[in-house]
Amino acid sequence: MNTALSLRSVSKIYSTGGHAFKALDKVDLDIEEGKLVVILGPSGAGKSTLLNLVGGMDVPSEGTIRVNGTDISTYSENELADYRAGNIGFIFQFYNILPTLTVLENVNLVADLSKNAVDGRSALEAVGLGEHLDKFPNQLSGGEQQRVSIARAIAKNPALLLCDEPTGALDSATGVTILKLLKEQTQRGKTVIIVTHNTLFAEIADVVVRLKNGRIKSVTNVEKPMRIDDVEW
Amino acid sequence: MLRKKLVRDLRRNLSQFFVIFMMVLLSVMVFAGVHAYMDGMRISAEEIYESCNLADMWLTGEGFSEKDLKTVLSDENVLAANRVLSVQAAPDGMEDVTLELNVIEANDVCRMYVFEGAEFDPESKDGMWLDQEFAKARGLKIGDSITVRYEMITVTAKIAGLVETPDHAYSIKDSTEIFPDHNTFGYAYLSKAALPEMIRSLVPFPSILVDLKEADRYDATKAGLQEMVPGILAVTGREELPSYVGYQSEVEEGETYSFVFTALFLFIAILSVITTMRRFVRKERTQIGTLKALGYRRGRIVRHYVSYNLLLSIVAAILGIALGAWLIGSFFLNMEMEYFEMPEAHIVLLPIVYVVAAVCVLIIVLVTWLSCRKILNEPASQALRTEIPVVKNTRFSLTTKGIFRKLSTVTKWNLRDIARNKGRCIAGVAGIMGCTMLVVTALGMFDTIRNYLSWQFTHLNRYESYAVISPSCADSQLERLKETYGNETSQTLAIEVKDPEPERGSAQDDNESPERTTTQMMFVSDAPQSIWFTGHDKSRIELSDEGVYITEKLSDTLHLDVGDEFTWNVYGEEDWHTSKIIGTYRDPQNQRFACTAGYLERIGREYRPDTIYSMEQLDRTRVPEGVEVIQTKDGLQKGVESMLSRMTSIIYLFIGFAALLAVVILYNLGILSFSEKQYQFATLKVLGYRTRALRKIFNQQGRILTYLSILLGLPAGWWITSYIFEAALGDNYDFQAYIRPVTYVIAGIGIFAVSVLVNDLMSRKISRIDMVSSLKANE
Repeated sequence: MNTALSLRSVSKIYSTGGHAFKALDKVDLDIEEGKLVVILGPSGAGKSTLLNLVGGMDVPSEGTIRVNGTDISTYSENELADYRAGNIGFIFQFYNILPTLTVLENVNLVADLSKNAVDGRSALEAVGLGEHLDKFPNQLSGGEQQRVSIARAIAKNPALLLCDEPTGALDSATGVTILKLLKEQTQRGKTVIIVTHNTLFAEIADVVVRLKNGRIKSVTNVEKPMRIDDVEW
Repeated sequence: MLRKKLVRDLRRNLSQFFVIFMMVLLSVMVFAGVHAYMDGMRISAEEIYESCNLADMWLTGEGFSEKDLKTVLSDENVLAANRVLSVQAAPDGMEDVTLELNVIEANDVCRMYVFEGAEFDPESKDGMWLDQEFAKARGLKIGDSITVRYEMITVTAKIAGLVETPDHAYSIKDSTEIFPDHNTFGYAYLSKAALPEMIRSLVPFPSILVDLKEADRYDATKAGLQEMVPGILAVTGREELPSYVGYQSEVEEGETYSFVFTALFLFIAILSVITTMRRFVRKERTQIGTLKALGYRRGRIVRHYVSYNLLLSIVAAILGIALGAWLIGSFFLNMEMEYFEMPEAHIVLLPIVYVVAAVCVLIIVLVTWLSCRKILNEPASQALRTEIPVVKNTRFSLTTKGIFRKLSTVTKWNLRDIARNKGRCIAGVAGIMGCTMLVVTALGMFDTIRNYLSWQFTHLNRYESYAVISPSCADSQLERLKETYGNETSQTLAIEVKDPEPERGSAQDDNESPERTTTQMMFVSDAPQSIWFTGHDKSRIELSDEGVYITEKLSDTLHLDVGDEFTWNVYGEEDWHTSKIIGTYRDPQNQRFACTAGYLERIGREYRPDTIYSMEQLDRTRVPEGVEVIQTKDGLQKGVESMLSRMTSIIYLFIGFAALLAVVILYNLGILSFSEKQYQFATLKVLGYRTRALRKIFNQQGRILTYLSILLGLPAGWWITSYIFEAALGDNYDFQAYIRPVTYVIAGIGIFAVSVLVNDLMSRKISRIDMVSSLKANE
């Protein structure tokens, strides 16, 4: 298996009002391709910071981040934009889809950005929204909106899917559907990283990373993850 | 505590509240400013007319004797009367200058307002009381000696006083001039005693100025005087005095645009209040819920949010009144006083200004309350819950069909964003449209005046010079003048026209005078090369000897059409003529009848020219015998140039103001638009859009709105220019707004450039969007 993601001595320090706050402290981590990685930890542990650094939304104060062997920690703003466009699919807790674009238009937004982009229609059909192409987001349920968000992410055909509390705003039944969709992506060779408070996610993960106070507390490779349907949500 | 919150919130949302402040300030400032100078002009004139005793009536004849004067004075409604001889003389040593010389015996009516020097002395043998504006322009002072010539008479006098008189408030040389030029024309008063002794007793006084006890008994007094004094040829009132009419029409002019601009700025202010307050209160929703949960009453919270704009609009209104009066009011008053001579002219703030300012504040407060009442009325529990943004997709349904399907996703997104934020967009469009309108109007006024001047002075008046022939010019002298200058002449007759349709208008109720008459002018031309006539489309028409022509505007006023006959006589004469209208023509400056000298002679009247035209530049300093004054096109041109240069400074002011307004509005529009879309931009940034691409998206919306605003603003500019000219021009003028195509191009490009600049500056903020915090803030 290839290493999809490699972090070496990564730190992130925020300075506010003369005070320095270390959100991540010398983090080392290697993730293999095609795994479902769940990052757990309490508030302020550094989960989202880690996700933002890997996603190229922020740059580390120290250390290197390699994605598929390429160091992104020294990228310029435009290089990071291109990196996000070509390599990363984001899925947020509150979907972040544009309310004034139709479902298909939202997905097609990324088509111009990625060289490997897949057709917006097929991406939406893959998430079960083939019938809702011309609807506006407010005509969809929360779960459907999250599926649009997933379709938008996979339409880029990215190497990494980064999910920040992807089921946080959904009921458990809908959350299960979303998790199944994400799990499917790993079977297609994509690496999915989920950041969450929900410890139940550890049951279905291939790798569980626990963070505390900006440091990695543990990294557990799960031999036999549970089937999503078998977990009591 | 809420007061501290208010101050901090205002500071935090400075740009949005600043626009509301500016718009209220501008609307009150324009209204206060225009009214301050307009009411100031009117009231200053009323004060001077009263204190200097402006005549109520002017009697004109060939020469009034002392006995005539006594008869006039014997009328029980006549308070005072003075005889006047007024001639246009040439002062020695001043090239191209005409001085209206008034010889008087006393100065009870149209009294002089003395700025410097002595009061008028009827016994003075060497004193001259000179127009102070003329003296200022020519650098003359008390004690300076002036020699004036009129025909054979030469008088030398010392300036005894620098004065202004109420009947010379608007003082122009003759009807060919529009704007006074104090450098080339002035007026002066001499006592009869200052004339050479040998002619003193021979001086004819063709005018008597009459001051009435009761001005509303004008008609009865006029009839009585005409009966008592047979030498009266014409009686005119203030309404026929060019100075009075010119001044009054200028005062009324301001009324036209003060309302338009006040309404425009107030409209933008209202839209800004709606967009800003809705957004602001929505942002503060949780705080409102918290305050309610803490026990604050709804009324108190409502007062708190209304007080933002109450406070702003009160300060803006007070400042607007002050700045309007002292900046705009004083500026325009000073500018007007370059044309008009009105001593002690001052700005005036009438109660209406305060009432309008208070109404503006009340409107703003009401709109503020209406904009936020929905959220302010929510129960605390609901206000504390996150608001689900409502996006009505029916608004966007149009953009999913037809040609819209072919648009790029980004364009569709921008169009839908516009539809979603109507208030903000309408405020922006109205603002930019207003700016475009201002620029087009400013430049359009210039174009219109230039077009009018070219029509009048290049197309119609084709002579280089003209000489006004003295009424006393002998036939032999006239023949000599024709030999010298050429055979192109004209005569202007004051005529009375019988109402062609007496059943119309007020005459129908007047049984005693069924044949009502109006005073008009008849221009008799024998100058086909020097004076041209133009038809409706400004193409040349040649007059025939078969009948009389009438200007289109006068034809509408008198309801006289081609083919109609009308009855007229020369003012003061007994013989009535019936003539047929055989054509209409257009004249930008004089609404009158016209005929040829040939026609006049055909109906049995003698044609005696009063003006002779020349195609050469005549020497204005050497006025030959039989000529009152020589006027050259060059001299007229100088006056026009001076007027245009004054206009240019106003146009720059207008354009500067429009640009400032455009910057403020576009900036506010940009801030609102940016903050509304910040999280969407953050999302797009996360998806991998580069900053440059996002700036393009942001600028596209600004451009769409700017295109739309310019597209609406250009015709609106034409409309307002047209409206201003229609409303402001007196009955004598007939020209419409004319705006050159290049003016529209300049205005459009100018506003577009400002828009691109401001949008570009605003879009730089996109590069500073922090994706993480923007997305978190939205959650």
